[in-house]
Amino acid sequence: MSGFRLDEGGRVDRAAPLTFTFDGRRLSGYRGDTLASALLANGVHLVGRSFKYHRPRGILAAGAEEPNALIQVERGGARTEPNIRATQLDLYDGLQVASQNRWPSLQRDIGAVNDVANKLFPSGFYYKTFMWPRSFWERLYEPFIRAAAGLGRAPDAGDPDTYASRYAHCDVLVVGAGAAGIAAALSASATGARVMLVDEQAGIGGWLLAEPSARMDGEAPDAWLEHARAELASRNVVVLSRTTAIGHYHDNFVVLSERLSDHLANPGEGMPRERLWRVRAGQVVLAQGALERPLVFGGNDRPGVMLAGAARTYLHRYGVRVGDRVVVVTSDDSAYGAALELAATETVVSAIIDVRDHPPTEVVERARHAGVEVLAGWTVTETQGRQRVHLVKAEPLAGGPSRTFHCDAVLMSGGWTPSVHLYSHARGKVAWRDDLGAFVPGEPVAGVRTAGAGNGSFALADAVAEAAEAGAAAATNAGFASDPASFAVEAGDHAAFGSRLVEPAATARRGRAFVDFQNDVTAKDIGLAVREGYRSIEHVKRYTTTGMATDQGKTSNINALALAAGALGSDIPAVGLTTFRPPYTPTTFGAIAGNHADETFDVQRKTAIDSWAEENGAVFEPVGQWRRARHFPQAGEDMDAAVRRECRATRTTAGMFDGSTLGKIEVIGPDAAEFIHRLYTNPILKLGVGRCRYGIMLGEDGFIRDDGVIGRLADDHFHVTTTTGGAASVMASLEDYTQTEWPDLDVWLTSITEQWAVIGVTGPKAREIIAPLIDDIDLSPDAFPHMSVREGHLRGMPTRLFRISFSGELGFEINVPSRFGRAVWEAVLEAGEPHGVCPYGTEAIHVLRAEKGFIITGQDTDGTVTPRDAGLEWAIGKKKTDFVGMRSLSRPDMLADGRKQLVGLLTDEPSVVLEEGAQIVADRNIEPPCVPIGHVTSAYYSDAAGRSIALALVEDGRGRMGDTLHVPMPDRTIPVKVTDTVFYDPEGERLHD
Amino acid sequence: MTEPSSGFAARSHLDGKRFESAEAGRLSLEPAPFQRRYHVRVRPGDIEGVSAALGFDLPTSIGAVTTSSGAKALCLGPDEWFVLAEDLLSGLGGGDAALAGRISWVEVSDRDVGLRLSGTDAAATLAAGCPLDLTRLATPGCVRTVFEGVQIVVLKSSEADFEVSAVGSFAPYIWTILERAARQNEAVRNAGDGD
Repeated sequence: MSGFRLDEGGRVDRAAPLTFTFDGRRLSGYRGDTLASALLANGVHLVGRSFKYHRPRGILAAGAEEPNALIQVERGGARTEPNIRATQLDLYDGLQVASQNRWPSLQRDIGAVNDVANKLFPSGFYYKTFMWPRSFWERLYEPFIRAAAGLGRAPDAGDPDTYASRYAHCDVLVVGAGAAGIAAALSASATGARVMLVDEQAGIGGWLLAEPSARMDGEAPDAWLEHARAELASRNVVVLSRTTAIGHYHDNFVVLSERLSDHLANPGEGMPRERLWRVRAGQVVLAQGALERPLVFGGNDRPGVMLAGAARTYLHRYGVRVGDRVVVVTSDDSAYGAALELAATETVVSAIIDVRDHPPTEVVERARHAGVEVLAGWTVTETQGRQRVHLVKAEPLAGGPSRTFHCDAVLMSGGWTPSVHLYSHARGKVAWRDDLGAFVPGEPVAGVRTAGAGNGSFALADAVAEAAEAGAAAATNAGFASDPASFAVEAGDHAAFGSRLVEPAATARRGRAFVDFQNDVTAKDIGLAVREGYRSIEHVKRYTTTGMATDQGKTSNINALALAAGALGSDIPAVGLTTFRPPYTPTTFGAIAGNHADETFDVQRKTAIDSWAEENGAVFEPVGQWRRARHFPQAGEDMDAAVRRECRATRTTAGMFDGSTLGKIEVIGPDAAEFIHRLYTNPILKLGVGRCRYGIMLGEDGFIRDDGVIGRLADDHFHVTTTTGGAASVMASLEDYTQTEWPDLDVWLTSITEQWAVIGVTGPKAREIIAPLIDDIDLSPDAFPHMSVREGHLRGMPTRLFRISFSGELGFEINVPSRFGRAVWEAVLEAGEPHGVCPYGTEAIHVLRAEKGFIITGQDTDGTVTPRDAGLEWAIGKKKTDFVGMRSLSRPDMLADGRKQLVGLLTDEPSVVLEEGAQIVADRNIEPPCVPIGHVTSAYYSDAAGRSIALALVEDGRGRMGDTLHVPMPDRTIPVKVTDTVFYDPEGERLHD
Repeated sequence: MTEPSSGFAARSHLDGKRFESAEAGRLSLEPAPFQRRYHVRVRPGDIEGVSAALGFDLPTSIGAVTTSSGAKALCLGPDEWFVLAEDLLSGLGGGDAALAGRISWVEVSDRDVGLRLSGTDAAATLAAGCPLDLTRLATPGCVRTVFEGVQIVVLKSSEADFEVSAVGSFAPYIWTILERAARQNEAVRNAGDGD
């Protein structure tokens, strides 16, 4: 392989070579590589172009914090995904990736003109440049910005993958499986607590994998990890790798995103791509470690400039040298380790440039002893190199002659930033530690402990001891008394942490010194924002975009904060930290949607009779969560023709419909009548057993909420129906009244909506059709008048038979146990066929009821309509002293003139059907803007009326009978005459046959 | 209410459904056979008296399950039970003068559909949509909870035997998610590369 891969060392499997393509170029790597380590092993540093300036960018980091190396992964077809971090993508054989944000090629990118013209694009250039002329925004600026913005290419086809999701519960959740997290999990699991240990990387180990010379209990990291893994397994600890804790919510509800198949060349059949875990943890230990900070100097974004700790990870974990000749620039001791370990290979370390005036003597001496020059109190001022760094210039901070160094990589370290993201999600308040130059978790949050580098304890022994303590305390708090496990820890040969936050302003001397690599924000941009008057760090963040987007400032926020504080003449704690927002790393919509996609996007409820409708060519429509048959077209029929035929059959012979979706509530108890009496406007107390009443339910505000039929089965026993859409909310509201308003009433409710299938039979022949089926109910008009209910049997089947009508025709609603719904439907159909019975759908139901002026709540009412507005004053019990909403009906504005009232409308041209929702004006010549006086709520062609009909809510509508109003439409204005709401059989004679 | 004696064919929302894990004992998912279901309400202060008059033991602590007269009574709330029986429990709740005004006993056999999960993966499969820790539920025990947004009642007979009751029109949705979760769990287990 190439000269950058060591012959041995690292955790890659040299016996398992893999090939992959990058921008069409075939390259090779090993099992165990990430895309980033494999590219570096091939000597590839240039991997992308930056977001705003299209600057060439390389690989900065080795983990989730990578801001630059974002690539497009192609798995064929719709399986393309942009902005994948090369540092987190496990290599597999045949992997195809492409660089982003460049055209025509990564090496020669036209968009790089933005970089030359960078002075035209300062922070906030949007707001300054695209202000005028105003009309240009929609037509020119916005389309241009949208076309130029974004990285990579979003898939344009549906997501072919599936995503799993599940809940989980544990006593202790440990986030981060480095040495600290493992120590915490081992301590927490010793006495039987249920423990979960999660890590975003491909396996457990964390930084220990890059510290081969460290010893745990006398063992090298690999061996110790093997033992730890076995021990955790023996205690049933759930260990999840490639799993990112993306958010930490109330009460230790932690959401984990597990990547299941993106690392596999051939995921098996049915393999979900990701799994979202929603974990409720008794106690949480956060051992997320720390992220290294870049230093801010001119040209710090050039490919080849990377974090020192990342270089060390590539060396030890993947056996990859990041360059042949490197310069190290640091304000932290840890970078010396990277320098010395690389120097022990073929790589030449030209110099260590330490921006601190007085780095620890022992650390410096060790470097000098190894033959590496150390320049203390110096900084890098610029870098050169077209597509990769080949030279750096450095000078003393105090001033003086500069020096140049040839190199092909620069390793930088600005110290370490503890990962406090989840602690911050959990409402923790961070505290500033000047000695570390970092925010660490402050006051503890209940049930949450932080340990290790994420808590500011960088040294391995400290981190492990602190985490073991935290793990044991967490288990103890969860009810499993535990003592911390103890570990004999020997730090690695070059382990040293000690840093000072060096003012980025001191090192950002010349050229463009980047703070936020992903959002292309420079040190000068932060200064500009402060000069333009932004004081709050939250405003600086939004104006410059630093720390925003998918990166959330992982590598940038402390540097940005230090620059802002410096420019404001304030100190960092006073300026404060911006808020961390979940998710910690970008999360796919697929994982978040989980089960709520495709056929289980939402519940689709079907009745017992639905299968018959489907087999018989029904066209369906959604009504709430239900799907209902809208009409049953015959060959060659459109909806209008089918609905006309269904309506005509119903009025002339008989029709039948599936009414099963109507809400049904069984109300039982000595106070059942009193309870219903208080809820509905209608008088109920004297309703006879076996009789029904139409009821209107108001809100406390006096407006119509729902309506239905109240049937009395016994003194203390009612069967109440609601609208289809209102079923659940009416049930909840009734239960609420029984429990909170009138707990003194002895009444109980049971939802019986789906206990009963409802088959409506309507029309002049309805009685003849059902008579042969009914065993023991006298159907004669005298024995069973309109608005009655009987319990009896239909061919031996228990039934509740209602004689009610929503069509104005003789009507019966047969309720049978729903498992027999379809069989009974077919029996009724068979009995009706000699009479020409016609199944009809919701559209015909709507037309038939509109012909009679019956309202549909939610269509002809909209939450601002009183019974009086709807012409339903007759439904208010005259002698009633109270019902829900009664008091509101007497408010002056409820009685005032000018309220909208329900009326009928007839177009001058009978064939013209108005559009539902159309506005109504009184003066046909009125010019917009004007206030309409009402709107059309229902409009149909009525076969029975032989013309179009409509219902409308119109101001003072009942005072306008006979007036001509106008419905302005885009192409013309339609004149209409105001009429009564009943268009057919106004005397209601047909009901009583 | 008497049993229908007609020749009408019964149908269920889950007719023909069945899932068996490839590895025996992991998971068996099947619709529960038709059972009699009753929704029962009694005032909290009257439970003992009503139980005695019924000759039927209504448990008093929420989540408890008792068996009497061949039926299981699941206590869902301070004044609310769900009764599951193999056969029609006729006469209960109706007609008895001693019970007049003291009980609401409503048959909902056709409202709800049951799904049975058995096997070592049963609880983990339910966790695909149920936010409660069902491993901590007593045995036997019950709870009314939700599954991906719809209400369910869970009856746990052993660590490996659960019966979920849901309103019939929700059952296919629940079934689809459970079966998908079961298949996904199998695929993940088969892929298991262990690291």
